[in-house]
Amino acid sequence: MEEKISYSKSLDELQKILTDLESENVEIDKLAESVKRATELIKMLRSKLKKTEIEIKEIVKEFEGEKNG
Amino acid sequence: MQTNKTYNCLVNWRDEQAKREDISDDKRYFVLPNSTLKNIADANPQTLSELSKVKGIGEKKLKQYGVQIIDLMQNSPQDIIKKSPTNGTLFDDNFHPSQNDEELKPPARSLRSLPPLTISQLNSQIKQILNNSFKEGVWVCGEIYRYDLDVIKADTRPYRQVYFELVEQDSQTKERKATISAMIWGEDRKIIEAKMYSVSEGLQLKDGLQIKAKCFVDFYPPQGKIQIRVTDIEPEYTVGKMALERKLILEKLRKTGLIDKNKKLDIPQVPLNVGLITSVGSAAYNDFIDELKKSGYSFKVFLCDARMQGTELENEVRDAIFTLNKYPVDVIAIVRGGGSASDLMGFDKEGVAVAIANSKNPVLTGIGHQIDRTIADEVSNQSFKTPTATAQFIVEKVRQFELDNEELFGDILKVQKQILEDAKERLKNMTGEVKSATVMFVKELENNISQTAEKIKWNLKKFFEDGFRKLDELERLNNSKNPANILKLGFGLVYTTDGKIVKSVEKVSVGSDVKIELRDGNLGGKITAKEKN
Repeated sequence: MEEKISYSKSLDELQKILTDLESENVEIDKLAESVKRATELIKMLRSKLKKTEIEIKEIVKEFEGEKNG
Repeated sequence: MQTNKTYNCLVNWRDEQAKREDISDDKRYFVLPNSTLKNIADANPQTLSELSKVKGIGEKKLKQYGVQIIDLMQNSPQDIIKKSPTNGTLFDDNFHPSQNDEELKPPARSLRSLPPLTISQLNSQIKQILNNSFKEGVWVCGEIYRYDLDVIKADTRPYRQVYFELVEQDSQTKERKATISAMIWGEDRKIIEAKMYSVSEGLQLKDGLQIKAKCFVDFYPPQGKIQIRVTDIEPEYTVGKMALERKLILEKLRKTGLIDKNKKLDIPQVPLNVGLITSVGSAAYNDFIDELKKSGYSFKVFLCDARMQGTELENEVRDAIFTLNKYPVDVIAIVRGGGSASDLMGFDKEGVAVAIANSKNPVLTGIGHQIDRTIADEVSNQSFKTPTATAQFIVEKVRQFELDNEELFGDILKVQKQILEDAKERLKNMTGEVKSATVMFVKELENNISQTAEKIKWNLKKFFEDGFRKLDELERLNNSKNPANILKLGFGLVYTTDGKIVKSVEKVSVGSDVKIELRDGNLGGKITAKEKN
């Protein structure tokens, strides 16, 4: 499920959570939940970014390999 | 009396003239009637114009007899008588024989009373008169005529004499004004010819030659013929005459622009069609033809036979030029073998010069001569010393064309080779240039690509770095809000029994139970006091 949400949308959600946390708008009851969600998002975003980076690196490597070939 | 004498003189002349004209005695008045003679005697005219005014003298008569009559009038009767050496004098009165001439005999009676003379007597008298008159000989100038044909027969005669004529022509109209028979003894001819040779090599007695000759006037009674005997000549006169005539013709040619008219014609590059004017079968003809044959080129010769000497030369050469110009010739050559200067006289004639000048084809002359150029040479396109030299010139012209062509062909080959080599070299250079340009282009392209790739790589790197940094930041922020982390710092969360976080003292009452969450576990407690800040 999470995977299908786009990176930017997830980032937006994360940012909103964090903004809410910053402004202390979050109910203390919901805090743990928000933080947990934020942590999940961060984890998800990071892994997505990492994955993309690796993919890109592969592509670039192919390109450079072609070039040198 | 004077008039009467004159009248008699005129009558006598008229009768003589009638005889000369074969007019019978009863028609003597055909010459001039007595009445007119009387008028003349009365008028005593001394000039032709005076004579023309005399009654009975018409234009025709004036022309016919005018000079003779004036001649008679200008000599007094005495003079005439004095010159008459015979006893058959014409006048009977007032005649006094000259004291110093013993041969003169006084006429005693009138003419009619004398016994008639025989022809022999008359002729011997004439001979005597002539002999006396020209005792010392006389210098005469004139043109030689009918000599060439007779001189051939001279050797068969005992004294090797030559018979010919001396003539006087009108310098403008060439009309013959006077002629006299002439001869030269073989001995005299030998001396004369030696003398001419000493003045100018090749100068010899020939038809058409103007000479100044010392002559004796001979009369031959058997034929009643007068003939002059040439004993000497002045070659300088002939040379001068020839030079003068030559000069006059040259001047005329210059004035009319004919002198260089033929020179202005270009000789065709390949003169293979040659019009040849010469005496067929002569050495000159053979020399010329041999030279053309020797060359190996395919010459086509249009031959026109013409006499190359003598008086016929002028007409024949002129006609030959005219004829050859009707044929497709490139050049016309007039050639003859070497000969004496007077042999060449025909080539100094105006007719030849004008024909050469007006020829539509260039005329080359190869008239063998040693010293002077003839007028034909002056007027021709080019002149050569010999027929062989003339032919060589034509051959050389063709050969030059051939050589030029060969050279041209060689040049073309050389140039063509050079062009090919240049093109090859250029192509080679261009290939190199294309190659290096391509390499450069590719290199540049590669540079561009690799630069772009670098840029992309850098951008990607930055993108991911930024991405991770952002996430890190966000994580830090998140972490800071995580209650778990707060508990780690020693803070505790107070919950009501129903699990609600206690954020204010008002939410709990003294004595109620609460749960306290710490980092590592929970505590149970009871509110013992509350104090509001």
